[in-house]
Parts: sequence; structure tokens; C-alpha cells
Amino acid sequence: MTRRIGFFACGAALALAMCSCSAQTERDRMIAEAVAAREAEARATEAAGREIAEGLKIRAEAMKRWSAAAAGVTVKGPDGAPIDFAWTDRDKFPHPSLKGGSAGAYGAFAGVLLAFLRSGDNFEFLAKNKLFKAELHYVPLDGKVSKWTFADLAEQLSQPGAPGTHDEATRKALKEFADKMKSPPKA
Amino acid sequence: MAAPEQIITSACGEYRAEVVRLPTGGFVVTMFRWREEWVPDYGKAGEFWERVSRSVTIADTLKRAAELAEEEFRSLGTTGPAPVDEDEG
Repeated sequence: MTRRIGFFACGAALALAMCSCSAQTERDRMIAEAVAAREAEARATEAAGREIAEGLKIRAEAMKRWSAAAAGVTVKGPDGAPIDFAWTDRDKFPHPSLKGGSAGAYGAFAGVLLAFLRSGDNFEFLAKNKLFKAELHYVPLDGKVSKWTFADLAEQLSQPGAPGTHDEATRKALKEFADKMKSPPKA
Repeated sequence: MAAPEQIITSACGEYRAEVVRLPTGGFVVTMFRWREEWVPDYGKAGEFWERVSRSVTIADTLKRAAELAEEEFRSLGTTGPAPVDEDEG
């Protein structure tokens, strides 16, 4: 009898231990899942921030390259003061309509655009970073935001009736770039 | 998951510890470092919080989590301000 009781007691203790162990395992699993979820969230937060920062870095590089192409190019503004085409604020793309809007401004801008696309590996840089159709914009303090893309600008300024004092060679060259931007090389 | 229960920024401002309450109870401490993206001849282009430690720090209480965050700060060569919220979870 003693042996039997002992046997039962041992069995009960084992069952209790197994139950306790199982509960502990379940709790550990839940904690591990919760920690994993938090880790995933932290990774996602970092990735989102990194993506935005990387996008801004690429945009800054494009601005720097554009401004290099625009260096020294100016047109006379409405008040006679020289106006340049440097792109120093990412929310203020130097579109000619905002640089006096004259035929001279459009012509000078077309020249800067062509110089930019031709210079170094700028075209490859735009292709690699998918910037042909990326939004370029001008955000005024109040009023409507103006938007463009490099592809659209090259196409528009290459048209025979497009505004601007740029010559036929510039139009043709811009047309070639516009066509290449329509069907960019595969990365 | 819920917003961080507590965010502790290091004295230098370069690091921060996010303390998040787990739905199972307890807290996880995640360390971040302020990262800036610079473009030569342009300047600062972007910035974001980058995770520092890949190891997981878990604590039973918010107070202990804050202490572990302080230890992490010290191991990174900086210090954090004393936590404002001393409530335990």
C-alpha cells in the first residue's frame, strides 16, 4: 500500500511538474513572440527612416550635380538683376517659369538641363536612382505647388514649338535624352 | 504594439533608449543612435534613428528597464538623464 501511495504521489508530482513546465514553456514562447514583434517593429522604424534619409541623400546629390551644371549661367530678371539656376532648396526646383519666365530663361534652362544630362555619369545616376520621373517641385509659401519631372522637361523643351531661345542642336539633343528616358536601360 | 512606455535620450543627444511594454508583461529596451547622412559639397541630406544593439534587453519592471538603458548608455561611452517616470509596470 505504501508503495502504491508512493507510486501515486510520484505520478501526481510528475504530472504537476509537467504541467508547470508546459505552462512555463508556453509563457516563454509568448514572451519570445512579443519580443520578436517588438524587434520587427524597431527594424521597420529604422528601415523607414533609413529609406527617407537615403532618398534625401540621393536628391541632395542630384541637386549638387544640377547646380554644378548650372554654375555661371544667369539670365536677366524683370528688374535687370541676374537670376541663376542653382538648385539649393529641394522644394524649390529652378524651373524657368519661376526665373522670370522669359524666352531667355527657358533657353538658358534648356542649356543647363542638357549640360546636366550630358555631364559625367549624371544620366546613369538618374537612371540608377529612378529619378527620370521623380517629382521635382516648387513649393511656394502659399498657393499651388508646381511639379515637373526630368523626362517631361526634356520632352517639352525638345519640341519645335517649345518656348526658349535654345538652338536646334540643343532641342535635338534633349529629344534624344527624352527618348532614352522613356525606355531607360534595364538596371 | 503600443508606443514606447518611456524614451530616454542620452546626455549627448546621440543615443536613445526606447522602453516598450510587452503584452505578456515586462519591458524591452531597444537602443538607437542618431544617424546623419551627409553629401560632400552639399551638407546634411537626411537623418534617422538607427538601431545600435542587436541583442535583446528584457526587464521585469520599468525602473529596471531604465537602469539597463543607463548601462547601455555607459557601455556606449555616454550617459542618459535620470528617468522621469519611476512607475513600475
